[in-house]
Amino acid sequence: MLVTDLIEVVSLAFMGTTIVSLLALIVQRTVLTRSQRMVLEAERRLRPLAHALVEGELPELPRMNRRERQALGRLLSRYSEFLTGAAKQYIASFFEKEGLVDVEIRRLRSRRAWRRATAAHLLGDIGSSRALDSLLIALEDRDRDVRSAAAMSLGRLGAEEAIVPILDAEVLRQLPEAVAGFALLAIGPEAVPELITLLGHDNPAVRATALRVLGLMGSARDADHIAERLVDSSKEVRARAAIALGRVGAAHHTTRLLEALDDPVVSVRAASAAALGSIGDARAIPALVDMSSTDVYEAAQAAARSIALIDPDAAISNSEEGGPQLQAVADMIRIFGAIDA
Amino acid sequence: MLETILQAFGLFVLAYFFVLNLIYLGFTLVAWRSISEHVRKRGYDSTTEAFASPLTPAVSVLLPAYNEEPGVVESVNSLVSLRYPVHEVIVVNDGSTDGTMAALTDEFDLVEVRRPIRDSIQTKRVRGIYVSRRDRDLWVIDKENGGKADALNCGVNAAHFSYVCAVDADAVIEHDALLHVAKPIMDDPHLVAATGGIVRVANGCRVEHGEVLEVGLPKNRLAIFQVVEYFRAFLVGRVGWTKFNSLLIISGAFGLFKRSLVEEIGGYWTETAGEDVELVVRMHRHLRTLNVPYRIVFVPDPVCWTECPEDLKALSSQRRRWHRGLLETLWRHRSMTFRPRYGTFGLLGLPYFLLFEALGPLIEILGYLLFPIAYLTGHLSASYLLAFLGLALVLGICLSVAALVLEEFGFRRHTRQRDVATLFMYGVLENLGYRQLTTFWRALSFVDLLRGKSSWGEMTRKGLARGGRS
Repeated sequence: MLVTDLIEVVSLAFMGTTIVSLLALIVQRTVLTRSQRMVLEAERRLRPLAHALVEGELPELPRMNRRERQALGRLLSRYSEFLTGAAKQYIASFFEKEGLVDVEIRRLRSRRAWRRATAAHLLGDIGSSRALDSLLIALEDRDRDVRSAAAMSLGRLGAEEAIVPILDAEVLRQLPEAVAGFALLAIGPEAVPELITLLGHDNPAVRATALRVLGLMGSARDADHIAERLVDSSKEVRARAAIALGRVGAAHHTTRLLEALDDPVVSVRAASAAALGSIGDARAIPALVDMSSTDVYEAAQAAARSIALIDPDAAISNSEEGGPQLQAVADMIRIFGAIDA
Repeated sequence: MLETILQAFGLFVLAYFFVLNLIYLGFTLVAWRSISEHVRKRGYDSTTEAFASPLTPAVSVLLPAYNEEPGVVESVNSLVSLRYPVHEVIVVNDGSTDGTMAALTDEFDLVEVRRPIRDSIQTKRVRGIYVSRRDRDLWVIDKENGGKADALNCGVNAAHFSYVCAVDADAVIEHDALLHVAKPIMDDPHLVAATGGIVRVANGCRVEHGEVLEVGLPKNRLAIFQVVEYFRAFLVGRVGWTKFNSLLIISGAFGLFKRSLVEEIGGYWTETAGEDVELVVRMHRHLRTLNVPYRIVFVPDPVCWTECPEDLKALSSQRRRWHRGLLETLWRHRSMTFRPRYGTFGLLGLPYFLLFEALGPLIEILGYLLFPIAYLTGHLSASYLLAFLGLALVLGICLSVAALVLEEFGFRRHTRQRDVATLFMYGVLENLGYRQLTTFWRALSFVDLLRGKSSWGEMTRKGLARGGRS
């Protein structure tokens, strides 16, 4: 009897919870739908104003209510993601005048991680350099999302002073590699001298990360420093060096890359073969033909593709002796005229 | 004697019911928290940057196809046009006897090439490899029939990139879905071994050129029940298990894996109907045995739309197959269950799936048989029986409604008020027959196993057709 009563009470409690949830949902949906409609309407009306602002044509803003100011702010944040130069500065000025920069900087101290992360993200959209110090502090936040958002924003702001902290955070696995890489790429060539210095770091993870980013934003000037890492003790560093050299290297690095074709690690051999294809020195072809017919799958494939990049005719003429990988590449050349780099 | 049996069973059922629903409710709360976090993260999502970044890992998308002529072209179109920096699509035609290969050849202007593929995982013979003249990142491998797992293994062998994404041939993947499902891997490439996205029911949606343009509800009642069911399974179940790093399954319709890891563990098991479950369990086993830190993650955002069965025969076949797959996997990896060396997966995940998912249908059916007997023999009072059934019904409704509320608060893909109201109604109704029916089918899978059944059964696909509603 007691058990039955208990079951009935529990049933009623759950039924009540279900009904309350349903009612809450109906209310939320109604309110949200209305609110969304008003926001969309406000954004539609304010779009010409936002465009004028971005083009620097608007000396003073007209009177707007709170919802309209929020809608305008949202529009400008979205545009800011894709704009640079004067347009971005106009947007930053708008947010400064509205006091929104201070609001978001204060939010970086919120107790809730998602608010701090949102603030860190928005400060990158806003583009105000006043946020730099606060964002640098946010790189050491206890929450990973906050650190990531701060790093991305520092990248978008082109903050050179963030280069070392971002690299340090990435090495300590406090920042995702992709986020650190994106941030450093966004900062641009100013990061290169620091990255070159880090090629001599004790920690192979640091050297590998530096090489990865250098390969993407470095130039031919940096190639000699990168080439030295082809004989690094870490296989990951050697592979990254080969990849980077493929992007920034020149013909005089061919010899070192050819030597790296004998590396005991497949990924290093494959990366070196790929780099030779990018550099485009025909001296590499004989070694690559040999590799494409004798080496394991990944390395042979890289070698075959490189031959095709260097000289498509050589890929076709050597296809029979170059093994199945080179034959496949030759087929692609016959169909498409060339292979994708 | 009968009295003792009935009393013991009654207590067992009460305890079982209590524990099971406590777990469901706990997972619902965990899912609520998790999805709320996920929604807030949209405020600082870096998907746009990921799309533009050269650091985003390249992916080989694998599509195994067997007799998929009605919908394969739409599926391939949706894959080829995915918003992702670098990806290739590999369709593996698994010895289709219909016009699948002809449809692909006509639509994509295929030409045969010599492309060597690895032989690290043994598969049935490959008859030919083709590339599309329209898009050099679209490949079709024509092979002898060996089943879905065999076709996927062939795709893994052929994949050019470090990550492979297995999708179903009847699925439509949303434009940004691959970016979203790859995000955990981008965030933690050394830790995240596999990720999966949510599968939603495409029946009733407007699909054009491989894209879901308008989300709607199916006209078919059976399909509407499945819409509700999928919400519960994905938004509550999988989100919950991800928190404990004990996700048992990444749906075969949409899962992203590290290629080298799949190769290392020997690829998909070809002798089961549940190759997707078994692969993930074997990954857990492998990585925990090696003591390698890892995570296998479910991401609720990236969406894969798939056609679900609209007749009882096809649905029954599908559920029996799914349950058979689960049983085969649990049996194969039974030595992991309750073993501390496999951490939360061995101590929580596998025991849960064994006791509540695998054996659940048998216990439930036994209950349906014994409870009336207990009542008729005077060992159970009418008030207790009604109260218990009432509670079971209310809890079932509560959990279905909770899943729908999660969907509404988190994603709101069904924008029409009428559709949402219909879903809530079906969330209530599914506890009045539909769930019992699926329980019965799942119980039948034990019979299938004993009889050595291994076939997939047939489902008449309408295909996610060009224009109009599916």
